[in-house]
Amino acid sequence: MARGTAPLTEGPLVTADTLPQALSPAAVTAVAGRLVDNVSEVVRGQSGAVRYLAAAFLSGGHVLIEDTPGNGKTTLAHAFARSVAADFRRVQGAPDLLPSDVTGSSVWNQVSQSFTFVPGPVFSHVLLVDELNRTPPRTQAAFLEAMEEGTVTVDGVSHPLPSPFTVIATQNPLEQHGAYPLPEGQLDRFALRVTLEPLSEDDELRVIRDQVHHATVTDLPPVIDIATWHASCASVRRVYVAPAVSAYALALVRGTRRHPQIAHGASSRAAISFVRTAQAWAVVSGREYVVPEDLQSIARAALEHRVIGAGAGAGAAIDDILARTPVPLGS
Amino acid sequence: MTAEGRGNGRRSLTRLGLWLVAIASAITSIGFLRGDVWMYLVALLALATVVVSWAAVPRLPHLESTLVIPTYEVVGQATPARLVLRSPARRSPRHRLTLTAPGDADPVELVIEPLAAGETRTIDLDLHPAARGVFRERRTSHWTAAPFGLVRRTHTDLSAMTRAIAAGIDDHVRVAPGSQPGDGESGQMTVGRSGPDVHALRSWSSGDGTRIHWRTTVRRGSPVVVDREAHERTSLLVIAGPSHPVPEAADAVIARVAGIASRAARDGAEVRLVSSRGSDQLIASELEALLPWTVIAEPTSGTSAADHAAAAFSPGARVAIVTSDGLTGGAWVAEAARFDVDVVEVEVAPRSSVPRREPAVPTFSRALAVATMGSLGAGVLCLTAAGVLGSAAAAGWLLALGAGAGLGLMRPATFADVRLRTLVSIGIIAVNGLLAFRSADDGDLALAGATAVCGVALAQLVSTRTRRDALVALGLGPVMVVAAAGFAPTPALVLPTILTAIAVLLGLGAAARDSLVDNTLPATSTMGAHPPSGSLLVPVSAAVLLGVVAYLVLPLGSAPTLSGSLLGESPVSQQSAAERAAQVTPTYFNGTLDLSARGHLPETPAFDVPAGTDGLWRAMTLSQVTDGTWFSTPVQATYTADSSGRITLPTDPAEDGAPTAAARDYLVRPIGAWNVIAPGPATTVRGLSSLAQWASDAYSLDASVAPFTVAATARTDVDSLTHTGGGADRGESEWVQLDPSTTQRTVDLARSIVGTTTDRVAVVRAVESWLRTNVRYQLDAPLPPRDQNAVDYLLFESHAGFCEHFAAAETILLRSIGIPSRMATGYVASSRNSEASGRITIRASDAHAWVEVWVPGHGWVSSDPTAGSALAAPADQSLVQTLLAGWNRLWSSDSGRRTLAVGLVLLATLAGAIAFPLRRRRAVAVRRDAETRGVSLEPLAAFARYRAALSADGHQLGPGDGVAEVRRLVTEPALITALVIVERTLYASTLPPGHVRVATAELLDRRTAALTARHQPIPSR
Repeated sequence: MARGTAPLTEGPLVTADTLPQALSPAAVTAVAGRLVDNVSEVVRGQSGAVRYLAAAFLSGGHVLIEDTPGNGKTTLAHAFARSVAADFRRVQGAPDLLPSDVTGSSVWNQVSQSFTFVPGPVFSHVLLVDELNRTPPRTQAAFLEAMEEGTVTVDGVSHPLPSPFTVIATQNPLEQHGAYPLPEGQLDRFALRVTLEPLSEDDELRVIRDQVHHATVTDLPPVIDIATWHASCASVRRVYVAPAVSAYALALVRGTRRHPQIAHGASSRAAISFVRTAQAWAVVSGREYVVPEDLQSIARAALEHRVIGAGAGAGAAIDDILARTPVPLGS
Repeated sequence: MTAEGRGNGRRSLTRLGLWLVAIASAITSIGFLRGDVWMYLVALLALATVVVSWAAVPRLPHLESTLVIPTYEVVGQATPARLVLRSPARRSPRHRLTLTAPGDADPVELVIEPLAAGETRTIDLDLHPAARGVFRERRTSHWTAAPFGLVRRTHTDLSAMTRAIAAGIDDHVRVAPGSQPGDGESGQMTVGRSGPDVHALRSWSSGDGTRIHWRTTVRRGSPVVVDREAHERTSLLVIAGPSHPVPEAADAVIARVAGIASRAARDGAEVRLVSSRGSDQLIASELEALLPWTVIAEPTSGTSAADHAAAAFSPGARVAIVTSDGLTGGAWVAEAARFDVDVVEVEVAPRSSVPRREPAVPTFSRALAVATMGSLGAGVLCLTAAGVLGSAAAAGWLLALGAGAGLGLMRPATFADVRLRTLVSIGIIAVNGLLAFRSADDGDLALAGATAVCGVALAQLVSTRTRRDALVALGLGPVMVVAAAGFAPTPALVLPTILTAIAVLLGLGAAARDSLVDNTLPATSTMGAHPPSGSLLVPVSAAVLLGVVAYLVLPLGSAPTLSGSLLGESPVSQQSAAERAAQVTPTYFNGTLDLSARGHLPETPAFDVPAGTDGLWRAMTLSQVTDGTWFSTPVQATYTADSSGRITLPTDPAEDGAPTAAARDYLVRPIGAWNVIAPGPATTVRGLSSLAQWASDAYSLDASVAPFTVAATARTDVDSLTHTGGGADRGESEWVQLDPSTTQRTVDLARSIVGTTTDRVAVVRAVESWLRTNVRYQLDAPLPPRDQNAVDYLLFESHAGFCEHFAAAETILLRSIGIPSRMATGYVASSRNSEASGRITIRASDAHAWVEVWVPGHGWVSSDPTAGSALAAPADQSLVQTLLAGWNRLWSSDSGRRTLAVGLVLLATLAGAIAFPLRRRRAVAVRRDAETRGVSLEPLAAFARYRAALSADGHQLGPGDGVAEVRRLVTEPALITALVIVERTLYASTLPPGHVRVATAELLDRRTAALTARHQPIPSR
């Protein structure tokens, strides 16, 4: 199947053929800074979550934002999507959402006397899936392929997705009524699961004032273009990970498999995604190499949703693993 | 005037002297330049490097000293108390210690014999119980390494100062009689008759008016104001987290803080001492004991300014915040802003006041050392190229540079002892002074100056310990270049100048890199903390490449005449300026021809002559020779001019006996040269009203420059003759006179060439052909040594020369077997240069010299030994000579230089293409090597010790707490930088440079020692 079958954007689509040069680490840090600053214009008091999202964006990973309704999940996702001058689509999760609503379908073309593929919203650079756990499992499976493979198969034909492709999904962990909990396989495909911090009184007041007087998320200007985003992703992949740091990451992941509080530990895919996200985190922190503290900083966001806890919760177990696993100090 | 002030004065004087040398050299060189664009570039380059290196110097830490603080502690409350003496750093001097107990007891006076480094001695004392506590004798000795190997020793008695201050507050300690009031290190405190008087100094900001403290301003290089008035109005004084940048400065800090506090207390201010995290426990406790002030908080870890600010500040108060390290203070000033109080900052221990321990190893990298030696080496090469230093002297200097400086810089342990270094420096300066004195005595001022400069440079290099010293030495290279350009602006300077520029630029780059490990640089961003190794190398190499390529590509012809060659010798040694000036003008037509000189001939047109007159156009003949210089026959008869504008030239007596031939008219148009030229002996000249005659057969245009018609008989060439005709020979001595210095082997050679041939034509052609075969034509042939006959040198040593040399050699060879001959000079007209108009252009570069031989029956015939002498080297030439000849051919032609430039660019591209991946691979390989083989990296072990010390200090550090956690525990910028370097060593793709790692390890170990020392009890014995 030819590449770029369906150009969706008006501008030239960035594909693997036009892979840009990687940026310098300092430039990527600046890009991340711009992204964070821009998003922080409308998302107040969530510096941690914003940084996580920036890291996921730069590592090409997908993010699941999990929180109770009304705390700014969608605003956060929306703000990120708007900050990139890329093709942005939004899908509202609902029980009657069909896979073809997401992926697109083949329709009969009267003129050419053949089926023509009409791409669905998944053919975008940034896909915001609101209330992901409200979509039925079949539709969730359609996302599964798109997120992992970067392709969509309809009627036996694979259609490549634009690159980079990032899914920002939100879900509400409280109301499980009428929801289809995400299968572990799909959870594993999210590089990070981000929960929002409770707002301080000052921040909350600012949010209200901003909403009344200032620009909202829909007025947010894009701050990076798709080529820059692409180059940043390429650059993040080159961030140096010392063998000792890789070993430390693996020790943390394997720790989840042995820990008494965890019934089922993180997978190898989790380990890969963990290190990759740490690369992005290092760049966001202004470094061109990964240090163990990068892994520590993202450990909960990257691992907690990938393990099945037993007893006192997986979060505490991961903290325990972090405290017990010795940091490589060269001696 | 303080000792510090004196030192500054000397440094300023040194710098002023260097500036004067540089300016004088520049002016001299410009005076000599005579409009040569290359020499201007050389001078500009040299000046730019001087300026840049000088601009870099003041920014560097300038005081290096050794501090000796024997510490005295009186232990125990019983009588007798025990006095513990310790000399921590070096051997302490013999001195007197006076301990005065309060009340009625007599002062105890002790004479302390010198203590060896690290020695501890105990003395039992019968002291009054009230005198218990800690006494510190504060006496410091400074060994300061000043530029140029000058070393001075200063002595400051800090204890007197402290006691004087303390006396104003408390009566515990009295100033011992006889001790001199000292001056504060930074000159900010004076102990006067009316007690301590404290000035608060701070940086000038707009609105401060003229309360500038000039002495400090001059020293710091930025305006500093005295803040006494503001200080006196202070109602609240907060001493925040007293600490000290280096342990040795503790006493100075205590003295200053105590002084300020006592002054403020006397002025009615309430004094509060805040010993928070970051304050030094020893200083804090000593201050607590010293003054009756409010102590805000007990020292605890994990607290910060924010926790104490509410207790420390009263809203609306005027607060002076006294800080000693600028760091804790910064936090307090920030806090004060929240409490709506006016803040006056008082910096207790500014950087300049911190006495520094002389580094055990130089505080600069080897890269800077190498660049410095390179700069000086290239400077010596410049002086050699300019002919100021003989090659033997230059070799000696380079050897000394390599040995002395290399030993001093590369093996610091060898020169660790300051006395040894002083001795060596003095020795070098003395020897050079003697040499310079002798040279000056001989009237050779140039050599004297050069010797002096070299001596100073070498002494400076040997005594170099700090980055600043190294930079001063680095700057001397450009000074030498400028001086050399002043002595002789020869193109031979270009290469060494480029080398100097490269060395200086690299050196400055290395110095900039070294400064990254300077303790004062807060580097919190990890991205920039690691010096990007090699990033400077690329732009510098690119700039140098660009310069060299530009030099190669720009045509040679655009530069006016200059003697000397790029790699060549010094034609100007021991000559006066006038002689030199005479040499740089073409030597062909002014009546003499010196074989040891050479002119560069530009491509500018000189004449144009009718078509079909290819061949030799004669301007004059030279027959007398003395010591390699040929002279023409003086004027014997003058020309006559008639009214029709026809000038009749006198008949040349040399032509007597020659067969007569009809003269022809030739129309000559002078364009760039003003000689009268003709294809043979001229009889008449038309078209000119007058001529200047300066030899019997040499004329030049006089009043007007206009085309003229010359009637002359063309000379026959010897190559067109087959045999000698019948006729008279010319036997006058004038035509067979030999240079008195002609060697016997020249005469022998002539005989062997001729052999048994007798026919004159055959003989001449044999000599011609011998020369064409055995001597190589080379425009920039080596010049003969002053004491050697030029022809002898050509025939037996150099085997290379140009037309003058060929012609002179043939003339001498012919004369030595009795054949009348003489030199002729003029131009070669070649139909290759013919224009569309049918005329031939003769250029200045067509200037030529050949031989005229008397052949019976034919008269004077021309013989040109140069024509047909191939540029190709003779078969028996050595490889080096072949290569040199090839290089010279490439170098001397525009196209060759362009080829060189293209080759250079290609080579650089190739080198870049190879080096870039190689460097990456090498960096990764080093990294991998360290990982796989478990190579012990300096900062890692030091970090492990520091971490352990932190744990022992009460900080909870688990296995999951790495470098970042430790970073959260510290606030000192230098320490944070060090931790970033540890982090890089552990996790980054490339290791930080070795010297950075070593410096980091040292810093960490110092802090570890400081941490550990807090917990060690005072030894009782």
